[in-house]
Amino acid sequence: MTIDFEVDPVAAPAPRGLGVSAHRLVHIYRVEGNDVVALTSVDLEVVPGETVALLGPSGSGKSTLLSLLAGLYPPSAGRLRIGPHDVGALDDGELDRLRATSVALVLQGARRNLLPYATPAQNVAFAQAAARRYGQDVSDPKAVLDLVGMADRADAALRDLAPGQVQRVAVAVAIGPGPGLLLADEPTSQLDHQHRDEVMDALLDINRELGTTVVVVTHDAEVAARIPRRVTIRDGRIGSEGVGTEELAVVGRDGSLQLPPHVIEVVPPGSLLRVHHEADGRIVLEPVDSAEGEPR
Amino acid sequence: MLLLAALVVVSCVVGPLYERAIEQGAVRATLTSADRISRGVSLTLNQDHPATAVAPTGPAARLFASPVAGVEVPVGFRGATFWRVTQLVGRDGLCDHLVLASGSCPSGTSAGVLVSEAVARAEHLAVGQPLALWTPGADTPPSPTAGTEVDVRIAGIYRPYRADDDYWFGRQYVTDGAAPALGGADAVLGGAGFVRATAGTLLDGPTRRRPNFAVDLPLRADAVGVDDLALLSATLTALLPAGQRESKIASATTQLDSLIEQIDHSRDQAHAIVLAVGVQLALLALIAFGVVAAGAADQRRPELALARLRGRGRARTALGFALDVGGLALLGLVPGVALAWLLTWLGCRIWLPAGISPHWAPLAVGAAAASVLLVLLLVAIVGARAARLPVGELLRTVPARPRKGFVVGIGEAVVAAATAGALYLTLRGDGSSGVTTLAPSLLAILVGLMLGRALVAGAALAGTRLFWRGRIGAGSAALGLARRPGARLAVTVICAATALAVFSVQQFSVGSANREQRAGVVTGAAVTLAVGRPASAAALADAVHAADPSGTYATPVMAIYPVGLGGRPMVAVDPATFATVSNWGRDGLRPAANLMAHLNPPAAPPPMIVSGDRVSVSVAAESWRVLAGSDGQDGGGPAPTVHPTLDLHLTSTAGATQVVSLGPLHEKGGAGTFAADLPKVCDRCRLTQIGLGADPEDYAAAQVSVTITQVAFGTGQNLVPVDLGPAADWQSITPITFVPQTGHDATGDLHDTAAGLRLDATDLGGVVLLQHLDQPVARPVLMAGPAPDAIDEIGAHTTNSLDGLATRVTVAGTLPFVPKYGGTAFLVDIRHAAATPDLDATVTSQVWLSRDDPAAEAALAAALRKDGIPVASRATATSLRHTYEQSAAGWSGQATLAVAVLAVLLALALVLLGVASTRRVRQDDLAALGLVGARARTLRWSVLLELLTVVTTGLVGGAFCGLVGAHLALPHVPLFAGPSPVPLQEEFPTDWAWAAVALLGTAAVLVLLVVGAARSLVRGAAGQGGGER
Repeated sequence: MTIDFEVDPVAAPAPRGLGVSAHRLVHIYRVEGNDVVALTSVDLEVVPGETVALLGPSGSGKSTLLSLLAGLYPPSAGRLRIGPHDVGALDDGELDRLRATSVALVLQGARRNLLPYATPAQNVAFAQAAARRYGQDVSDPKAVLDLVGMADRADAALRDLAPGQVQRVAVAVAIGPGPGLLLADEPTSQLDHQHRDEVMDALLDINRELGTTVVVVTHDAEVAARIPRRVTIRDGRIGSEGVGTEELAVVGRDGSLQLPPHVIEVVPPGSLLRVHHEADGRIVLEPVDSAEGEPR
Repeated sequence: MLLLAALVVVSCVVGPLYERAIEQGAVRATLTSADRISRGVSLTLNQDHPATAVAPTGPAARLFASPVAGVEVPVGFRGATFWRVTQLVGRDGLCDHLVLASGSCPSGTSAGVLVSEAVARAEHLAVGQPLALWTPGADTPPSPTAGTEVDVRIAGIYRPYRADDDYWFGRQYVTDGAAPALGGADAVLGGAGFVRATAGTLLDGPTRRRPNFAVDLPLRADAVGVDDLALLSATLTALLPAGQRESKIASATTQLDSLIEQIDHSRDQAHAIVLAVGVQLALLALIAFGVVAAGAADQRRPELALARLRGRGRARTALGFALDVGGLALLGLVPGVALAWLLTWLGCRIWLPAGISPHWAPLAVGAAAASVLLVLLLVAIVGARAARLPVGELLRTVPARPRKGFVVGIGEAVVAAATAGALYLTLRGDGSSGVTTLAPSLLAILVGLMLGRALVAGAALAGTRLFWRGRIGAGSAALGLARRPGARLAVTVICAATALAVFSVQQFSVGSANREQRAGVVTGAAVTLAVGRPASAAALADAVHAADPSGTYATPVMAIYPVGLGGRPMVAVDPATFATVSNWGRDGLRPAANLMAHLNPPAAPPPMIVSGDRVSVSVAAESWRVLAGSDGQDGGGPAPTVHPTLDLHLTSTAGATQVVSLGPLHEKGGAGTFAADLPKVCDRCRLTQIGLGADPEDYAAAQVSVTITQVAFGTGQNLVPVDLGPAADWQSITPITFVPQTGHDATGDLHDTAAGLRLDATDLGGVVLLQHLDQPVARPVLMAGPAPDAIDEIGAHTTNSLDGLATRVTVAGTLPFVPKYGGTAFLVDIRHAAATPDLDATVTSQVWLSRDDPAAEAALAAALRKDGIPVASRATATSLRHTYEQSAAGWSGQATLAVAVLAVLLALALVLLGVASTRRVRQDDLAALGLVGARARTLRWSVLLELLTVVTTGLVGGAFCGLVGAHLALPHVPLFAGPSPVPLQEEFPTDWAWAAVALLGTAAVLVLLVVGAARSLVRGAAGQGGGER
């Protein structure tokens, strides 16, 4: 059996989005006196203006990676750049500014992102306040809500909104300050198909119209299928990626190769592969019987 | 938050407001209870000056009523029978303050005068009648033979006036020492101008007497405020002669300076107690507010998280919280200030003298401002602490696990140090009453903090275990308790509030009990009636016994303050009833019946009653010899002569004594009969003493022996023999003197012989006296206080009996004090308190009653009136206790009760707001438990257990601290304005009943709230979908 790889050119980035460059990112946190390694040498590149889905099982490190990208705390080791900012080198004030102007996070559970007593427009204005203070030009809250299709409910009470509408308002609150990077943690969880699609439409529209780089954490395969690029994270490491309908293996900085899950079923960890570099540029991997050194 | 902020403002402001009111009340009560003369100022001038020349001016003028200038000139006039000496008095504005029975009021310089109705009646004076007055001469009283004659005409006759008003200033004038008419005067009153002119002649005349130029300055007690005291003191200093540049004032008489000292003392007491209690309440309120503010921050954690998530810095996030919550707190200023004013006003209306109202002194204004600043500071601190948390921490939806271990923070360390210091000072007795009053609260805060820490640590340990064992309700309660940030401080606040409540009721109870005890002992009994002079002490005793045969309701009491012996009163009582009826403060101090029985004199022989105008004495076997070496007669000189006489002492029924001397014995020699006329005719006189007298020229010392064979009394030649009785009925005594006798100058004894009583005497120059024992030589008394130094040869002390005569007393027992009369007094049997029935003019006669029963008292008064003993006035222990309560110490004690109520309200507000601020989180937890199958009953039990554990821990700790704190602090808290005139030690027992009331009251309120909260929370959780219905 051979595994062929082909390298396709990546779409040109939109001008407003911020790129993400994570190199050997490590994060360890302490739980009841024990050190837990949440991320182990994560390498990830996101081109400005790209939309990426982050997939992985529970406990794989998705939320930790998202928190690092959101600037909630600095990484334990490694380098993380968001646009021009080296996140690890930022102090608390600079991280605050980063969150105010450049990076926005939509928390899992729409209502966690909102002031329960305020209207959608007031929530957007609340989120924009810090950005305004830093001198960032921000759009009118209703215009922001219009981006997610909620302009007509700008002054409604949150309790009167459907779950999908609430989630869209949460997205609008996040993009209110005009960030270059939008991070969304399970934005479609607990939504039915219709509302899920509404939310995804809104996120993709934001990427398309504003050029905002969007990173979405999701369990939902259908949601992931709508996103051009899918990155798998497993056991704190970046796994394979998917672009379009293809699953691609990822070559790590250290030369390791992250294979798609269906391939790992065929060549389990520890398997030997003979590498053929063909004249036409294809790389062919041929499994080898480890005992006899003969192809299987 | 608005409610609690308002309570904080109330707690901070009500202390200074009420303390200020108490100060004003002390000023008002002290000045109004003093008589006008004591609180006013009476100036004696060097010369005649108008009142305005010496009266205070400027700001001090409003503190005094209109000054009254007057002149008094000693004058005499010849009355109908006797020469009268009185005063010629002129006062400005005289005519406006007199009511005339007839005639008209003189004015200006006219030579008309007014005389009183009493004098006009006694001296048969009428309007229009001329009257010659004489001023005094040099060193002589007014009379025609000396001084100057002043001719006047009687212009009018005035009715008695009340001297105790601002105009008369208590000036009562007496003519010839007679008792003044009721509030009136017997002076001759003239126009001020005329009297001044007369005074001028006195000054110009050849006399050393000076008229009295006086200006009276009545104080307007109701105009003096706390802020006026300094001005008043300065004004007094300026009025003193030393303060006068021109020395217009010769002297100033006033008690105002000592009254101001009393007020200052009361103010110090108010500072110490009220401010200390106010500080405790304020501290409690601030802690409670801090707990609720922390709860509010916890409840707003998601909002704080969002603010941080969206890029707001820590400072801005905290500021947002502070503006939001602090704004509410700031709104609490107005209602808080209003409520504090209202509570103070209520306190003033209920407890303080009329006319006292809250006043915004700088301290109260400062307290209001400080309370708001502290509230805002707390909000800022809480907000800053919350905003400082890492964003990831703020975004947590699951509370962090509690830290294990028992770690003492800086706050606890500071409180521990303060508590240790306060307790140390309290136990040593070195601390001020303010520090000692703070000690119980500090102790409670420390204990509450420790209990809270222990409870949280224990709950953390227990919670997990309980869950593992399937005890959902209890486990949830324990974990919730361990994780709620305010649980520890809630225990502290409830502990401190309960301690304050228990301490306050203990202070109130102890204060009330001690004031009641002192009032009873200082009054003497529940009711003391001053009665008119009875015919004799025995008559009063008989009348009281007839009116109250049971001897449990009424008892007679008579007292005299003798000359000498430092004024130790002789109090005559009925031994059988006095101890029962009178008030001894505590039953343990009441003397036993067998001690009172010691007042009964020993059995006495019947008196020897004689009548007549002549006496004869037959004697036999008389002999005498001169003692060698006596009086310088040794070696050489002629032998001295001795002229002894036999003296018989007789006492009339009126108490008058006479001595008849028979002899000199040597004229007869051997045997003989001596007879003599009595100086005064005797009708039923008592033969009291037999003595051996000596000629005044006889200064030799001698031994004398004479046998009295017969004594007879009668009229003319009809003399009836008197049986002298056996020698045992007589006792040798020395004459009563108040000076200690250092030696025995004379001794004498009577011996029984077949012929009669033989008197053997050795006379070294003193007096030989033998007293018949129908009257005891020394009356047995019970003594309170140290023994006097003066003690005679028979171990007796000398004092005055009720008849005013000197008498001997021997101490038959001791008492700690005598009710009403203090720690230095003699107690004697009323029926044996005098040798004669006559009572001295200074004897006070009273009837004491064991209870205030108007019906019984009316019946007793009627019975006494029938016996000719009217009731003149009454005093009650209740009114005296009310007077004690109308003091800074009393009002402060009452204020602590209000503080207790406020403290309980604070605890209530804390629990209520604490539950409300964590309602959402609690309901989420309960709903989650309900979703996994926990029943509503289990959820309710979970909430109840958690809250009741906090409340119960606080209550138990608070009760303990309150009782211990009361035990330590109350002995140092002033309960009275001044020391007790009766040495009654104050008691500080634990009033378990009141403590139980405070504890149960607080518990009931909190438990009811907790039960209601539990029901509401579970209902809310069920609405969220949790819990089986």
